[in-house]
Amino acid sequence: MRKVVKMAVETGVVTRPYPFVAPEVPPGFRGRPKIDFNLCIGCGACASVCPPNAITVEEKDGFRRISLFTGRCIFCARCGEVCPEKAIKITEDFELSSDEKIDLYQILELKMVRCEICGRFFATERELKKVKEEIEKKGMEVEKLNLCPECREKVSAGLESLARR
Amino acid sequence: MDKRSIWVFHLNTGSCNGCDIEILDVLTPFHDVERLGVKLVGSPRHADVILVTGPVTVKAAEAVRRAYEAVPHPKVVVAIGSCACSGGIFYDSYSTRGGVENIIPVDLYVPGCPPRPEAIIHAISLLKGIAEKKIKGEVYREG
Amino acid sequence: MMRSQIYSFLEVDPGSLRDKMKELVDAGARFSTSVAVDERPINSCFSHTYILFLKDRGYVLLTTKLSSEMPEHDTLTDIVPGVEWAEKEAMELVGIKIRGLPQKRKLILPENWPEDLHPLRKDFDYRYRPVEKADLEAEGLPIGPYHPALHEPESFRLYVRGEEIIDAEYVGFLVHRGVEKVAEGRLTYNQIPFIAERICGICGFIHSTLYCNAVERAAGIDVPERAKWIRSFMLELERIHSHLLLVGVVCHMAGFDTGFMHAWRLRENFMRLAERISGNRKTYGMNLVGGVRRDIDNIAALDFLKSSKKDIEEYVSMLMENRLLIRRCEGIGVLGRQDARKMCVVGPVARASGIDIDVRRDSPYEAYGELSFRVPVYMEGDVLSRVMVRLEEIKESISILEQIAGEMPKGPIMAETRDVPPLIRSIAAGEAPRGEDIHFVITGRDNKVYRWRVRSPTYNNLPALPLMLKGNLIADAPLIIGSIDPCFSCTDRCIVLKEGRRYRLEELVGRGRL
Repeated sequence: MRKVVKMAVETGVVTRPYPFVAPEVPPGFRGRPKIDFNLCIGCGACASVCPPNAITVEEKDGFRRISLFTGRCIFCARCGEVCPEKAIKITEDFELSSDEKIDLYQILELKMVRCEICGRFFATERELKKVKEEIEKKGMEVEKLNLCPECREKVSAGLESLARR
Repeated sequence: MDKRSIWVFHLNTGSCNGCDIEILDVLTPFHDVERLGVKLVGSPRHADVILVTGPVTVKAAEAVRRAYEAVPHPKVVVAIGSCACSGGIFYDSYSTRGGVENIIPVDLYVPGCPPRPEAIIHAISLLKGIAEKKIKGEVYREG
Repeated sequence: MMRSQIYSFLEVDPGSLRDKMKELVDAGARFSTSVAVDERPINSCFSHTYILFLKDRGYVLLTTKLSSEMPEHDTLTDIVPGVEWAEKEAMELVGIKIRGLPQKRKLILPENWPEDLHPLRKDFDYRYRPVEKADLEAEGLPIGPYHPALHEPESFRLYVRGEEIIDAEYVGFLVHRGVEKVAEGRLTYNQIPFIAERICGICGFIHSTLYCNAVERAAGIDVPERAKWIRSFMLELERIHSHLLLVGVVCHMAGFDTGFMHAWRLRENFMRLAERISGNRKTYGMNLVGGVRRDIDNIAALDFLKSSKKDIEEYVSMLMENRLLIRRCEGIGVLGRQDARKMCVVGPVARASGIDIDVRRDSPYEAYGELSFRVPVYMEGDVLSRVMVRLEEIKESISILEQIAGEMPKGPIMAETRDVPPLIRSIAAGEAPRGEDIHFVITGRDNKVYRWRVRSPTYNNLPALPLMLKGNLIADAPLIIGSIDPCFSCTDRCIVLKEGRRYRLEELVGRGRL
């Protein structure tokens, strides 16, 4: 009996009265991922690596729609690891309760570019701008930027007429 | 709700137990949710709020519906954890129903895998009206 | 004594399966689990592999190939009673007919699931849902919690005569989420560690580590030394928090709430250490095939461990001083040594009944071949022994953590990326907090697995519950069930006893507390 009492007295009060004080969050905590709408180029690397498919990429009416649904997120931080533009940041937010599901969505719609030859939408404007920048950085000239991968292959092989048909 | 004390019933619809252990953690000395007037009850008939965890497996679906109907009005359903909000990583399996909202109406969503005890206390504080909602949906269309 | 984990394959035809099994069991083999695979797309057959462990040969995978039109063979339950659940799972999920196995009710799938639909066959899409919900009467209303505050959706039916229990049945698998099929259907190699970690929210890290080990062995990837030591550190941290959780729950079942609160208070510090290292209190998310994602800071860990050792010792001495707790736990729920061997139990339940097994010492994996630790074994087999085994393991784990933090080698934490060759079989075994955990992997094409089988420890421990419960009072049932530390989400499977009265488990908990 004595040890129980001794332990209780020595321990004292350990409660931290949240929500009346700020919560303690250790550095490196994996909270909610947030997309920076100015940096994202719409490549979809995050969507292909996300285990529960909380990030989805759809294409409709000439726009590429990237949607991050925090309600299905498992907070594994893989998206932040693979994003080439560092547009997805892993914040330390964990106070994510909401009464409406719409609050848990982040949706970004980026304009897409049509292929000059076959006419279908194949990449976003920002993706192509990035590609152009990277090529020009290496001191090379940009040729035939607005061609989808299939048409570009055919053109490079000298089969331009085949592609146009 | 403007009640002083909230009686809570915990319902596990097939979760991995991560969220359930965090709910139990909220009762332990470091977080001590009893100071906010929350008590865990053993029967749905005594409860005001149901805390649901898990992605509702096929075998547990009917039991969830019956437990919901046993709670007297007014009742609040809180979906704790990503599995309860939407099915989580099991959302399209043959053996789950993908989120509690497919069986019973949900009033509050608490994402997390598992949500921190502080996140659960934040959800309860929202119900009691002593904290603010901090997340907002964002939509941006280029051009 | 082996320095690393070794396994070998042994193929027999279905006719010689029984004789070969008998031969291995007579030579001292211990049965672990069995894996049924639909190999029709790759080999035009079905296969059933029994995994056994022999002290000097390591793991032996005894495989038999069955015809794709009529896959069947005889049962082995008369040789080893512990194979029953594994064979039932093979029957229900893959559709292999096991002759001689009694099938009263379905084990895993709901009763109204169509008879000829087997989810783990390759022609079944992982998203197809033939049943919207199970019929409740056939399943039995989930009767209450085993945790006083946690309502796990499993049901125990106790058959009683007066106050004494004469039989028990488990009707469950309400937590069956189809993890293996989702992984085969949708996930890539590097996404599966995340679903593996969510098989169980208490012992998730061992699942993701063993899956990564199995794939690394199949692909011949050499994990860097520092990554192995980091993994061992997180594994021991998980063991400590799991054992403290259980000790707290047992105290609560016995009516000693102060013990419960103190145990969980001590546990909180370990959770915070894990949060500082990995970014989350549970679901550390640190494993990928080939290594770990984050490095750890040795110095911070060491300081904390010194003070925690003293706290744990003080807590244990306070528990032992409590005559109430000792009297409640002594002599209750006894599992004899012979029964324990027959049912192939694992982990602290086995060690409390005199069976000296521990995968970390018998078949070392990760950094365990280079660490020194004791394995506690008790002979009584009652609830108190199971608690004592775990308390001693906590102390041993803290000493292992100190060794790791002090001697961790420097170097990279992730191996070079490499392609995983298709259709290679491998296994990985480890000691989860509840006992031996086994993962079996057949690698596939297009960055996906072909077959992944997880057998977690509680799967082998639960069938031994009726033997433990028989002859005890109803009021002790929750304490006994809690003492094996059942992790239903790992197991997915419920016991029923009947003779007139049906008890809700919280009624029993209320009766058992003073």
